[in-house]
Amino acid sequence: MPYCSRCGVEVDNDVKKCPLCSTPIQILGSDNLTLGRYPDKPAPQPAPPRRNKKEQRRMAAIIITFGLLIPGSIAIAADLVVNKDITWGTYTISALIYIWVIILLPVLYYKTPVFTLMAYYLSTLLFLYSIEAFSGGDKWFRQLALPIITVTAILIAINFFIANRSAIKGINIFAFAVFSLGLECVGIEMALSLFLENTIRVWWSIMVLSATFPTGGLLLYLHYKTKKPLKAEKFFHI
Amino acid sequence: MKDKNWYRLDNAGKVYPAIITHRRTSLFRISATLAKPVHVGKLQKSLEIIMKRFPYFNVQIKRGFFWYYFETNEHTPTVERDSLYPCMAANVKKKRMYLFRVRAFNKRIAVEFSHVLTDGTGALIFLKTLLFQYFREIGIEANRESDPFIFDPGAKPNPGEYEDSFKKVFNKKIPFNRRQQRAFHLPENFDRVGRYNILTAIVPADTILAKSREYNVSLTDFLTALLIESYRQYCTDNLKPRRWKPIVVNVPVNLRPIFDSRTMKNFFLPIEPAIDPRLGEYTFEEIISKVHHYMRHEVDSKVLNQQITRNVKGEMYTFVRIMPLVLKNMVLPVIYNLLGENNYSGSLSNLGRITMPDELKEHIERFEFIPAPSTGLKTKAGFLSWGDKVYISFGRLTKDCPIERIFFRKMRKMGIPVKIENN
Repeated sequence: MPYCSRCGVEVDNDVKKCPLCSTPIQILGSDNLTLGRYPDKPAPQPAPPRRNKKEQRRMAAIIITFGLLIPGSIAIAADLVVNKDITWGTYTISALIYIWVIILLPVLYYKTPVFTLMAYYLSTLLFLYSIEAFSGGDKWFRQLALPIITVTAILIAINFFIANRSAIKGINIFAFAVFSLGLECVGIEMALSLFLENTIRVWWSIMVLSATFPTGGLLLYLHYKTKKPLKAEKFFHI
Repeated sequence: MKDKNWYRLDNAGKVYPAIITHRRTSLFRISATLAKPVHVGKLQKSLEIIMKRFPYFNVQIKRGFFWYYFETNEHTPTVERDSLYPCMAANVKKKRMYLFRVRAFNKRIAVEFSHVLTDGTGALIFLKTLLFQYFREIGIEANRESDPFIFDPGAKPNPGEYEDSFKKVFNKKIPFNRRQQRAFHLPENFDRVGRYNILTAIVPADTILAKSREYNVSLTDFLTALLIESYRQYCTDNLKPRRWKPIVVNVPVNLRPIFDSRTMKNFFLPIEPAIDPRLGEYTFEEIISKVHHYMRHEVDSKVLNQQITRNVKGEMYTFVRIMPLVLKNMVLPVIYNLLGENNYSGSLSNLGRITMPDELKEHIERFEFIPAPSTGLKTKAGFLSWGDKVYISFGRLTKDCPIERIFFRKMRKMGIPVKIENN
């Protein structure tokens, strides 16, 4: 082992000068050189870890909330300045609250889709009712909006249920969506005819049904024939 | 205690967040060099397992209005690669950052802890538990019961490990003890920011212990006296007498055995053996006997409690407590310099004799301790012993190393073989 001739201390085999006094130390032969005690380069400043999913969701909720507060307060201020009263501002506010609920619910309650769906249904009804109430509407909410929204919600819930229960999620989900589309049209026509003509009549939606059933049937056939799962997240990845 | 997801900083840790800079990172390091290269994947796994045992380290630092506080960190610490300059390039105050890190290089596993979080004893327990788990992962089982400082990775933390023991032992009624004197500081130039130069000396334990037994003192007393003597030599060799000042060496004392505490936060106090070179020329024998008797006088629970009381009272003043953090951050560095670094010339930490279960002894080559960088003292020292060797490490922020040179040359003159390594 080499020594420094001035300090008298022992040093590593591969050291070129004394760590204490910088006196050069002769290196004799290149065999049995020791492994470096430290890396050759300083490590860069480590970056803090990225936000995890929970923190990202929390952050998104804060940004959405304050992002929607800005147009809301601008609308109220403009309304107050121009009309000296809150008139059309109520529509903006209720629409913003509705948007807030629609965006925020899946962000925060992504683990409970049933609850989210129920909340969607109720908030949509509430939003439409508030529009009717503010505008002094003539009963279109009870006769038109309520039945259509209810039918839509029931169909979406059924679709969710089937999608959840089916072992292989693939084209069958599209098939049931197509079936529901036909049924939705029936519901819409019934509500419309009741509202416009005061009778329950099914006419043009029969055509839609006649088209959707074979289409859905074809998709179901393809699904059970091929039985290859089509991953929705793969297909629709952004 | 369990459902709480935030913790207060302890009395000693409260000052550190305010004084952290790029040079003074508050990080110190304990490392273990194994017999074989480290398997990083298994080390990572062991780290994840033992983190459940150390919830008080699984934290990030957050700014409160009045004080900083720890909040549970929802991420997982990862094993990082080592650097040429240990204890540097850390931003422990950033969000989601851990206040410690585990680094691996060739055969070495190193843990670097910020002093905000814990002191050397806490870090050593963490490293020993990590090593125990790592060896278990690679298939070497050992009997843990033989060592109380290796925690069972599967057990629940003891509530006593969370406590701020300073607050527990402090006694309002004892009077202050003001002994402040501006100490000598090394007039050396700093190296570039981000550089921390390490010198590690490997000394045979039996030779150096025999030498200290010659003077009838302990190894700590002997090395402290030798460090004071090196500063004295530096003054006489390089400076005119009017620039001489008292030479004070800061020797941190682990208070856990003295006050029977099992906290995993900071629980240490410095004691300050000193000589004043202006009073006349001290021989090495005189210094060593001064240090020896000073240590016996100071390491006493009642005298130490006086200092604890000073520190805790300072924190408990209503005026201090209601001062916003922004102001505290401006005031604390000044206080730290006035009461802390201005009064020391050097520092020597003692981690004592490291023990591991017998089954693991052959798999560990050595332990090393690197002190936290200090801008006031510029060079700090620490030592520990493992097996038949004593490892003395100096960490310095300066380019040149006059104190280290004098220190080790003196050691060589006493006939103690020294092997030096650096980064």
